[in-house]
Amino acid sequence: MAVRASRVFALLFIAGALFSGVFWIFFSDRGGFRAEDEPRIAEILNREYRSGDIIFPSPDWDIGFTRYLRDGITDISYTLHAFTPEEIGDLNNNGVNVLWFVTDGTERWEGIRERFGLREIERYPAGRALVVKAQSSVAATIKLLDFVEAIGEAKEVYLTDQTGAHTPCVWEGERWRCGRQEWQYVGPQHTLMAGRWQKALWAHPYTNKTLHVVFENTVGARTLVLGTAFLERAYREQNGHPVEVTVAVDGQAVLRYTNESIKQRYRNRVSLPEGAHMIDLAFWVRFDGARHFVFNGYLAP
Amino acid sequence: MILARFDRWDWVVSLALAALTAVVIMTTSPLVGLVRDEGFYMRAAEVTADYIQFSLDSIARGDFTAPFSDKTIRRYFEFNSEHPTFVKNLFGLSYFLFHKKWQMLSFVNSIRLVAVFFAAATVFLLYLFGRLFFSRTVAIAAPFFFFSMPHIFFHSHLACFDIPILFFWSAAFVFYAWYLVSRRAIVAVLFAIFFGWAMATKHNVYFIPPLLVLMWLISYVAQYRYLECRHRGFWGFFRAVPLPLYLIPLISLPVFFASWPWIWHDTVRRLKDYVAFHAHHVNYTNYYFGHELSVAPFPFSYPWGMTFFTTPVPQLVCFFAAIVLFSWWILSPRSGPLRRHLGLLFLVGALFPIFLIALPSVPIFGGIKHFFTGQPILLVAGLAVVCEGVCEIARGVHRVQRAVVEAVVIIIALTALIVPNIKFAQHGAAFYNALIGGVQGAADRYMQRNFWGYDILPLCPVLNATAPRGAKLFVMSYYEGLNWNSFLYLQREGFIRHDIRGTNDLHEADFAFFFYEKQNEQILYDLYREFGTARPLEISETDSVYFSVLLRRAR
Repeated sequence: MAVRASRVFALLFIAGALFSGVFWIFFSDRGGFRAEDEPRIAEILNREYRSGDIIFPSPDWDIGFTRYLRDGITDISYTLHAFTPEEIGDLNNNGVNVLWFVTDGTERWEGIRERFGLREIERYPAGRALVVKAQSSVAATIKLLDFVEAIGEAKEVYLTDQTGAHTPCVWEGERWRCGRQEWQYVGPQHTLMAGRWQKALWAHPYTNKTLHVVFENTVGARTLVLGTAFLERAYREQNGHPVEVTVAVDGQAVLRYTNESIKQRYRNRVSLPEGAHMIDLAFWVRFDGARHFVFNGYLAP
Repeated sequence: MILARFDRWDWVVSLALAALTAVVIMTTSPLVGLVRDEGFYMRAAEVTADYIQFSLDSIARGDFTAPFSDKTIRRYFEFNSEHPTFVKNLFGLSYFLFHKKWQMLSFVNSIRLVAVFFAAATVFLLYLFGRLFFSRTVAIAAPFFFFSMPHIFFHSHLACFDIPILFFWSAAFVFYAWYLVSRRAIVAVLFAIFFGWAMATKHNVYFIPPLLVLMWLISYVAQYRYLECRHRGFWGFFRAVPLPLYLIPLISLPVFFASWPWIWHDTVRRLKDYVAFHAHHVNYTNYYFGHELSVAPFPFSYPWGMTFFTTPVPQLVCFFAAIVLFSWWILSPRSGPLRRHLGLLFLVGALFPIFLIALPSVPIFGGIKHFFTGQPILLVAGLAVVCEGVCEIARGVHRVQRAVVEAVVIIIALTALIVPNIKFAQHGAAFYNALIGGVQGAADRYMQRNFWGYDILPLCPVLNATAPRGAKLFVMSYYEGLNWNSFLYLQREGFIRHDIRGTNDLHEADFAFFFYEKQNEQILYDLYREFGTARPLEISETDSVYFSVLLRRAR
């Protein structure tokens, strides 16, 4: 081999070894939250956090501060990177009061604020770290009826089969029970929809049956926003079937689409006809193996 | 090309290095938790040990056929029959002898002893390859550099197939090359026997015969006009075929068949099932620069990128140097036919495992362990280039001083690798190099952080000290968490208290392990909600990046 090439590799090897040694001794633990800041971060959150708030740590791989959190603080999302500004706005429109950002410094916070167009309410320094209370600056949507919040007020939840036979689900205080098996219900949960932390309704469909969730439009809504998605376990299933989603208003379909078995949150906004009364959200699947399916959304003016 | 002589001193030094490696790996075994696959293979070892006992009892009774009947084979070899049993047989034998019979080693260590053996064998192979083809300095240094790659060091502990198949893959190419240079029949026979065992270890090696044939054909055609007369024409073609290629069907296949009792009966159907299982293997989710790879096709760059960012920088330089060296052997006008053939052989042996996984249609079922099988070839050859370069730089000085310079460079480089190896002694599968910014840089870029629920040993002492008697522990075994068998074995080894009961039902758990993989964050949210707290009792982390946590239900 050419002498020059072997010399180059020898020099690269020496340089690489020195670079590696210096990096691992001095710089490999350069980021994240300082250990002494972690109790301070937790102290602020323990004092200021209210139920219905959500916390976004950034960087999301250093959870040392959670060691000092009080019980009851459970809504922490490690998926800020996956959100869009609109989806952050949706959080505030979906029952979340305040967004808390725990960052390792001002620079990172400014980047987040800019990216998501956030409105800073208050900032709390914690050593080098920074805890910020904020909200989305996306114009607040007036929600007349939130499907997750109002699931207990659904007019009816039921299953129909190919013959049209009608099997009602029964309200059990916090969820509609549609069968004996553990998964056979419609009810609220906090979940990841396409990698984003959300409040949503579990609505696992049934083989060759249609699951109907019916809301009465007593609020005079003219707009419907619907989000649907498969959960992780479902879209990783190699041969999982898609779910057919239909939204009908007083018996007339106003939205119909196929929620493919992929990692995606389908979000649709449709106008409702004048005088819309009964809104029927229907979900059908050919085979229900591992069809962990959720939806959320709301009615708006 | 002339091979160096492997003399008595080489035997002494190589075996001493192999023994040293074995001791280090055995000593550090308690640092490494049981990975998911070990849960299956340790169970297979128990079943195999039962088979050995059954066979001995049958023979003692004078019944020599019972151990070979289909009924017996079904009983003892149906479990985990999607993998051949050569290494599992060794697991079972080692467990049978060193734990059950002689009680010299604990249950886990008796099975992991086989992994230790293959790590030691790999040291010997590295030395052999370095000594025969390059120099004694390279031969001595190579094992140190090889086992100071955190992924390699980590996998060397595990009772799995990955280091055995790494050994066999590289051995096949080294022995074949050795034969091409030496033309010694004994080397061809050794190649064939090793290849038979390799086939009975893992299916990776089935690509080797077509590759060897193809490379030989290219070489044969390219040098046809320079061939001796006896190697030309129809019959000459068959005379020219290297002996190892003839021995694959004659020796390797019978060795493969003999090593896997499951295929002794109903052979065709069972082989079909075996092929079908791997041809339609599910994909295991991997994160790669923020992309969730769960459904094919996967990016061609995935295994190349992962190799680039999970190999320590000095060794990575060696890899590139080796590629340049082999390319030089192939392309240099000064190369003869043999050196060209060897260059192609080693280049393919080193890079084909990565290339294969890079094909978009090939399932990704794990981390770099599935494509690091050619790294011994890259490391040894690359180290030879580096050593040659160091000597060239120190050309003006005396021969002895040159050797000292060479040794100093090697020692400095090895010293630089001490810190990352200490940091990742317990989390070797999570190592990323300085080029991506270490584990923090990898986490910032949403690379796969760790794999499959082995990383709990730092959590166990806290669990044992905190959990009330009979507490229920969520082990996450249905997902990419702790294998249920591994949980039982950890109890058996005393890592987890015996009275603690495992469960996969979050609602009834008092404590929970959570193993971080990006796609499993849902489980962490469920845990927070169910337990009413996000406060962990203990966190397993390196450089502030967490891998797993222990949680307790809020009172």
